[in-house]
Amino acid sequence: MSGAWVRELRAILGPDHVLTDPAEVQLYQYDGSIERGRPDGVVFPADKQQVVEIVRVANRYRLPLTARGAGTGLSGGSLARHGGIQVVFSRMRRILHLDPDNLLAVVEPGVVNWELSQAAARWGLHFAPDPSSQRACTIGGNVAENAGGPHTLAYGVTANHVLALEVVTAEGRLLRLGSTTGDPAGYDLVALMVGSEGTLALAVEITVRLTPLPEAVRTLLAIFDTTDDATATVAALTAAGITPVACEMMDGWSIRMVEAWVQAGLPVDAAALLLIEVDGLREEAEEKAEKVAAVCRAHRAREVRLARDADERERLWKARKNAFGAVGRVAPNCYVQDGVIPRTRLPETLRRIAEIGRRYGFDIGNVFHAGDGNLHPMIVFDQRQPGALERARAAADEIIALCVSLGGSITGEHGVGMEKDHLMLLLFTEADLELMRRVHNALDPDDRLNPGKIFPAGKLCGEIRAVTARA
Amino acid sequence: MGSEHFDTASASCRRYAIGAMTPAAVVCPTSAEQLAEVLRFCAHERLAVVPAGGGSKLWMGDRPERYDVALITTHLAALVDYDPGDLTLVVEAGMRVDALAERVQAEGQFLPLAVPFADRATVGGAVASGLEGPLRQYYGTARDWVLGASFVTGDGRVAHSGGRVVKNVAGYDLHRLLVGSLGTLAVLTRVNLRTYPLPGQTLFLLIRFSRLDNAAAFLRQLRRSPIRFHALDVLTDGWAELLAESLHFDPPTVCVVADFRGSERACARVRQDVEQLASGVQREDITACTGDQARAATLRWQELLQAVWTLHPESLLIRTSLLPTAHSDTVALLEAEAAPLGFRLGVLARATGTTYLLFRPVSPMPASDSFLALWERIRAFFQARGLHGCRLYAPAALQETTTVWVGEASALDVMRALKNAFDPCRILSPGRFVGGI
Repeated sequence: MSGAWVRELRAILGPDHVLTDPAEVQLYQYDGSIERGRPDGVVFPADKQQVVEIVRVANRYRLPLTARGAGTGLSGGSLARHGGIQVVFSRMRRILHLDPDNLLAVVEPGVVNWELSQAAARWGLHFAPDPSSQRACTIGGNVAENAGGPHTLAYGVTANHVLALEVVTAEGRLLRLGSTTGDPAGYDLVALMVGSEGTLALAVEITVRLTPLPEAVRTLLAIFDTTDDATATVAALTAAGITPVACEMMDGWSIRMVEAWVQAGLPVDAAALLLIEVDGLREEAEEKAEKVAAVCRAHRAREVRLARDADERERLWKARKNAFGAVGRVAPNCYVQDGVIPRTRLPETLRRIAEIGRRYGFDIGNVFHAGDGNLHPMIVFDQRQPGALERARAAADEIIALCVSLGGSITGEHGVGMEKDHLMLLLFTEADLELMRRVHNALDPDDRLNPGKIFPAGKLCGEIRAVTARA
Repeated sequence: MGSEHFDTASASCRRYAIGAMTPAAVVCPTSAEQLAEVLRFCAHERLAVVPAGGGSKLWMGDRPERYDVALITTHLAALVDYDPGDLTLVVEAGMRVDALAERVQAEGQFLPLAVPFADRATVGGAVASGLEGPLRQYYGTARDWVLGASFVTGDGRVAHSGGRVVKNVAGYDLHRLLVGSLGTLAVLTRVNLRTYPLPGQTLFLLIRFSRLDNAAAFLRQLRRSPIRFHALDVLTDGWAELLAESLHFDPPTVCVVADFRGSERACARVRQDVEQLASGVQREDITACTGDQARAATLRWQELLQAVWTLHPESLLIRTSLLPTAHSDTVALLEAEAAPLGFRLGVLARATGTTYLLFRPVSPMPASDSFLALWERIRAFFQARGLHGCRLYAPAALQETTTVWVGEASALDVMRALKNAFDPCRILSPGRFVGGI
């Protein structure tokens, strides 16, 4: 039965670019999350015309289609939850056009985020979204998940940097959306597509805005003896009208994990640290750095270090961006969560997360984007213990329900994927979801594209209410 | 609804007339639920509804195909929640833009929501109109700072998307789809906005040029520099006079205007840098100012669009989008199209590429059909080059007879399918949007 569609795909792509051997296919059942989803076949298109052909085959055989970039996602967004064809964009990785005069680049979806910024650097430009996985993750994946990163605090998330898209629709048509200047003709379909997690169309060409690199960057490390002082500092920075380009927090437990691995010179006896970056013209960066240091000291920072040079700055950022990896090194399993709260609620939220950890018997570390209230609690557990995974999920759900109860969101940058579809009802009413479903059906009526994502399966509504009640 | 929120008096209805079309009733709901009930009723009765706030943007878009009810949101005008510490707020759609701006300023904060006729405009209308302003250079457009919204669809369903936190990727961003949708998908009832700290001191720079191509090249150079300007535009004939007049500048033929905010030191540095960069290009002179004069200049700049209504009543105003490197060539070609018909062209262009084309007759008494001839010429020009645009202002005769949308929008079938998802009975502003949506 499976033979016919595989033969057709091989005819389109060549035999080397279609995988169906279970041993090979099973490598694609993972991403960076704790979810699993196994495709029936994996294909590697070389150009957009091949993507069109693949979609037509999927339609003829009624197979689900799930797009994948580098597989670094953290919510199962790129996993083939209901099997079918996994479309991997790793061969479509050309920067088609880099236009420094118009501050834009046209790229294929498989271009790695970091590589685009590297290519733009010779013109004094960069692609601003910088997720922790930026050395591996692809622009296509960034578009699907509306990826963020530490510097989104000042520079915005992916949605703020995508000007135009060429997509393949669920019916297998190429369609251009948006314009190279960012002004849509008609409804802003680009804004709808970015963050739609591959459920509305497949992006095959992406026009992004490039941003001039700042003249000067100052990175400060502020060290605190209590978490409350650190979180109060974040609020005070906002109140003082200072907008850093990044404001990251790491709690004591995480500092010790990271330092054991990265050796960036972090203070292992501290309760918390803030990694704060300001940039701009030399004069601006200096003035802002002084103001930031003063606010930190006023909130009992025991020490405020200013990175002396690019090397030291690099080391501090390496520590931050490798935090999840560092924890993974010592813990059998680490479940990285992603929730958002209003920035003013940071102190109480961290206290309540610690309390949830104690109740479930897990260590929970916090390394997160404090400046925009985007939390990333890391729940450390051992999957080999019976029931541990389920309890880790339950603890995570409680944390997310807490975020929502404080006026926040269930995800700030990792996406809903298959990890949080059951939590959507914490945030949205049935009517909201019904409208989103109608919007989905306007573009993908047969539920061909990445089925089983974003929308909660109906039977879970009761469980959701149980989570809400506990929170 | 109660008679005080429902009005069929002809004077009230005329207030919300769109060209020659006058609604039969004006309805002012006092809650989102009531608004939803009105829409359910209208959907059932197939009554065409045009949502409006202060009614200051009713000139946007095409004449509706049908127009039975003007649905006014000004009774939904509360600031629901404002958390200055989080730099976020939730406001009802009918609150006036200037009132909200004042409230935010009292907290030492700022909203980048500068739209024409801000003394009448409401927050919901400003967002739905999708109009942008010079501050987009720094703050982006509404798409970038609308965090979420509550709204009622054409079949009377109350829904929301996004949230009130600055980072959020849960579900489809339907609120971003509503930005610029001209009330054809849903009626906004609440808008969640990001606020910003008040920027520092103002440095206003005006660099005069004799030629547009030199000015446009200099604009691109400034945009690529590490200086983060608040606003960065190029102005020519017509626009430049609007800015200069009342500010006691000599009206330039062509100029680049730049607005920078920062500390005294940073402003001094930027002034020096721009002067140095300008010394290498073919320009005339530079005017720089700070303090009250600079603030007055930037305010005037933000109001340029609305000045067209009063100061250039006999004109044709089109918004389009040009790639910055193609800008001066395209404008030169358009000038060549317009000149034989007796029109001259003035340009207001943002560094990002958004361009306002102002065509004015050379003769004070233009022939009655000259605007139509010009319009047809421009349409053909746009079509041939794959450009798209929207007519914002024209003498009444032209406004009544031709569509304001110019150029082919791609993905029209997708847009129609979305319209159907939000407004299955097609009662919200039918026919006002691109492609007759």
